[in-house]
Amino acid sequence: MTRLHPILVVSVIGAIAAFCILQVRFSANLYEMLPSDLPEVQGMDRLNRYFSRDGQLIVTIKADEAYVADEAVVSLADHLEGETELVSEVYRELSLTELVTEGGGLLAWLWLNAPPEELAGLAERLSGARSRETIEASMATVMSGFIDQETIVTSYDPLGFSRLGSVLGLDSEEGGDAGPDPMTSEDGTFQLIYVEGNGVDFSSYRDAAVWLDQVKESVAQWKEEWETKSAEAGPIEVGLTGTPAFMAEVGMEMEWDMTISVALTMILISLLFFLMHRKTRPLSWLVSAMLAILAITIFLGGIFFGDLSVMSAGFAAILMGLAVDYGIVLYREAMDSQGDARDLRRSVGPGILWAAATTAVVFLSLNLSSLPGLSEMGNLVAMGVGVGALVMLFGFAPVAVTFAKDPGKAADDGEGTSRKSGGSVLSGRGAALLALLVPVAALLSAVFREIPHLEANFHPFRIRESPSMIAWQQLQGELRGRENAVPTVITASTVDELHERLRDAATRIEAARDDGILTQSVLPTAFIPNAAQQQGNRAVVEELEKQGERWLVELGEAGFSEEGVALTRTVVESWRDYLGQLDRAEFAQPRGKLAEWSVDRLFAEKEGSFAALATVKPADPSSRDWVAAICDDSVVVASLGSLGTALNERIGQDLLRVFLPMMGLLTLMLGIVFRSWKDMALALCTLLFGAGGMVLLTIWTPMTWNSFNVCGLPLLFGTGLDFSIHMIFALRRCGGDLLQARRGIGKALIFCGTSSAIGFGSLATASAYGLASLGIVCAAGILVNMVTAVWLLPRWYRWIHRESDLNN
Amino acid sequence: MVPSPRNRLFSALLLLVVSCLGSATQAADLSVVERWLATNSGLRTIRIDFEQTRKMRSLKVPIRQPGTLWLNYATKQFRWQTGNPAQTIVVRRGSELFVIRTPMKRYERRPVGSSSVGTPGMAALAGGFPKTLGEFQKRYRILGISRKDNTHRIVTQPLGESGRGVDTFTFVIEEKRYRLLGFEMKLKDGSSVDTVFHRVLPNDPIPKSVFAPDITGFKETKF
Repeated sequence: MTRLHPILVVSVIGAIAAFCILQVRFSANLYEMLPSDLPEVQGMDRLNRYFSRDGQLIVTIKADEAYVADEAVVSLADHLEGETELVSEVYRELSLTELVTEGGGLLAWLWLNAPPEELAGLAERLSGARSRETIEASMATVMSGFIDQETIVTSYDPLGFSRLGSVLGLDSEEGGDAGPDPMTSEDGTFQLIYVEGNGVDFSSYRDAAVWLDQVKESVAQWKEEWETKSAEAGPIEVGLTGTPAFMAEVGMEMEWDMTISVALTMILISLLFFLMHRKTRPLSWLVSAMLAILAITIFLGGIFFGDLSVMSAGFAAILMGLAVDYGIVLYREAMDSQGDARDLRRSVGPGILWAAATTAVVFLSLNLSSLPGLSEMGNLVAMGVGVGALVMLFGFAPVAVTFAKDPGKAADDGEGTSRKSGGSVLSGRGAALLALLVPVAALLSAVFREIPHLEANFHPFRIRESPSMIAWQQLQGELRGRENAVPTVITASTVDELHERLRDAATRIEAARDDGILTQSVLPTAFIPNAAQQQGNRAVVEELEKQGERWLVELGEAGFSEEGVALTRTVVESWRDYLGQLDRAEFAQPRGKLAEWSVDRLFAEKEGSFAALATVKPADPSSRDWVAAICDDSVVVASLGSLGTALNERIGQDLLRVFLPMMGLLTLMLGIVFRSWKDMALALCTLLFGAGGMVLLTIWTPMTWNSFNVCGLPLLFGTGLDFSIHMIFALRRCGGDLLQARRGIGKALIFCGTSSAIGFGSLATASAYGLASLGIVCAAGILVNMVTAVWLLPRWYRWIHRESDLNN
Repeated sequence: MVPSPRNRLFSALLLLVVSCLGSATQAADLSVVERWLATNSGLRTIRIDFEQTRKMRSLKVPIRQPGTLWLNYATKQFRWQTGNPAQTIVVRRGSELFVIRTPMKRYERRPVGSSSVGTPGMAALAGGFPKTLGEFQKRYRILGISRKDNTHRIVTQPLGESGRGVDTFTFVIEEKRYRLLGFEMKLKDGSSVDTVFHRVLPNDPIPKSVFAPDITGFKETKF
């Protein structure tokens, strides 16, 4: 077996592992790794399910002047419309003349769908007795000479079909301001284009990424031409955001995270092995074994878990850091024992299997966390360490024994070192002093400087420096009415039930506004098809439709041109169409591009259930009071502001529910394992010392805790305990001989601790904040535990056990 | 093709002449603007009687109407009125505009700076005429300056919110005395508004009552 060239082995197994990584399907739906019972998470889920369009890209344009943005939007929209292989449709804000031709269908439908008393008001205004009066009033407005937007709209809509304020539930006497512009900032310098993708399966983030790259290239080409042609207009910024951009960026970032963290871990562990053992052939086999473990685990993970979440991208590096330990134990034992593979398995196999089982249990305990993303990562690592133990015992062990006859076997070092000092730079008195100083310093720092706490407003899934996220944040900041606006999804199994739930939601929202916890709300009631109202309005609309010809004559006589009556004509024709629809169906659906586009954004039907999209603005977005006040099973909010608070609350409960019982159970186990109160106290003090070290790091370094990395505490607790048990048993075996303990178990713990810290530490480069922070905290904690167990614990052991105890 | 030295010299001279011409034109253009703006210096109040012709795409025939604009720069007050007797009056009171329709005995209040005011038309001038070139360039992008029928025509595009929906806004300046004679506005929907000044009274005392029309008995509404 060893005749195979090491580079060939590494290359073949590495290629298989790379192939397996490429087969991994990541889920770009970030909310899937958060507690599904939170209204905020349900809100994100339902917003995505009902209202997100996989292939709809939002292109943002920012210029110094409104006219530049106007011209750039038209130019870019024309350019993208020409990219027929990439784009099926482009939607930009319509000009006034386009609105006149496109808007009639929507206005006619909104009146048909309106409450009967509202329609009665319109019918009265346009009745035979009053229509001329209405037209005269409009003509007076147009003739006033004070030309503003209202005057221009009136000139095209003299009968006032667009005065929908009361129908839309806006505050005004007879209609008016229809709310902020959804596609243009107030100063006009920031504008949006919606682009519908073409020719790609947008449910695949890889396909979406390829498509996005092509769109980026096309936009960059347009921008270059634009800047050459319109140099005097000043610079413009173009951003791409929306579902396909998010999906592509998140998916590709996850692939990159996994690849980089695995590669980094492999390189650093290999370097560590070489520094400690100065051998390349065993190293190549060890690396091959680790790659094989990775390939098998990823393969099994795909079978058991399907698509992996963003947090699971970090499992591979953690697994590498843990699995290498089994290989090291086998290798060192093979060097000492000189037996065959079966002997080697018999001597260290049980220990490795128990260690793997213990580690797996610790990682499986993450299933008790409320974060599904963390549970999935724990399950993958647990499965991986099982695979790792088996691969090392049955794959690497037969190879490891062949190296025992290697003449280059390294000689043990430290023979000349004093047994009493154990080769340590720290004296017994120094260790005792540290045992006291660190907890006291941690306590004083916490009291006088800052008590460690969980970060507020933390979003573990947020991707760092994501261009689509930056563009999205700019969009939220530029468009009036978007700041702090929270999408609120109302769902029901029928349209009638949806209206009922909207009414209930309206009552609760109104009460929340009265209480001052909400400052604003917009309900989409007018845009939800209402069969009862449409059927109830049918007779009135039929009557109005019959009057259409008379209105057109009166408008012509008043002096309105063909352009001036076009909107009125479209409304009348649309009513005719909708009345036809009502003959065939329970309710009429709006017609026309503008109608479909706007109603689709507020009302959706998916798999037999219906959803409406409302918007609320909380006074304090991070508070959960307003969430509790308005949410129930059918009303949920996609609120990132309160999600951070909700996660912190939930994780706090998790810690009490999971961590405290786990500590009690492990203390009991320590008692059974050691059967010595001194050793048990020593192990607990070691944990306390490690905790003190972490408190000091939290207070005096930029390291922070959040609702995601705090779930690493059980892992740190487990490794700290593991290291203590190994060291205390080693000290017992060698009668408190520090040198012997350090040369044996100490060296192994240094390698295991460092390799695990490398595995976790490599996640610091991860794109997701949660994963990166988990990696940093766990790497720091493992190093603290390792240093404590290897350098301090032996001193404390000698100090707590008298000479007579040790001799006995 | 490699250009000959003679051709190169000719090209260089041509380029020089063209660029000199360009800068001369630009300097002359800006001087027109500056000289007109200079006539606004020292202006405390102004009253302008005008006639406006509106060619709306939505109307069959153009509308002609007389009107008057009063501006007080010190108090930032203005009154815009069309018709005689007044049909429509627009005044500014603090942070609100009052749009008053006298025949209907109704009025509407709109916040200054909202999307429904400050849009094309005289509303854009409600803040007063610019007095310096810098101020002018902050509010208007100069598209071109030409001379026609004893007038200078400064073709601009209003910047910011007041420019939305406006294609071009042209200031018509008297050729010799650099006084504003009127303006022409083309809207993006194809409509146009031409305003010709008949009488301009600078620093004419304006009674306070002009800026506070009596609306007793008028009903507030939304036009």
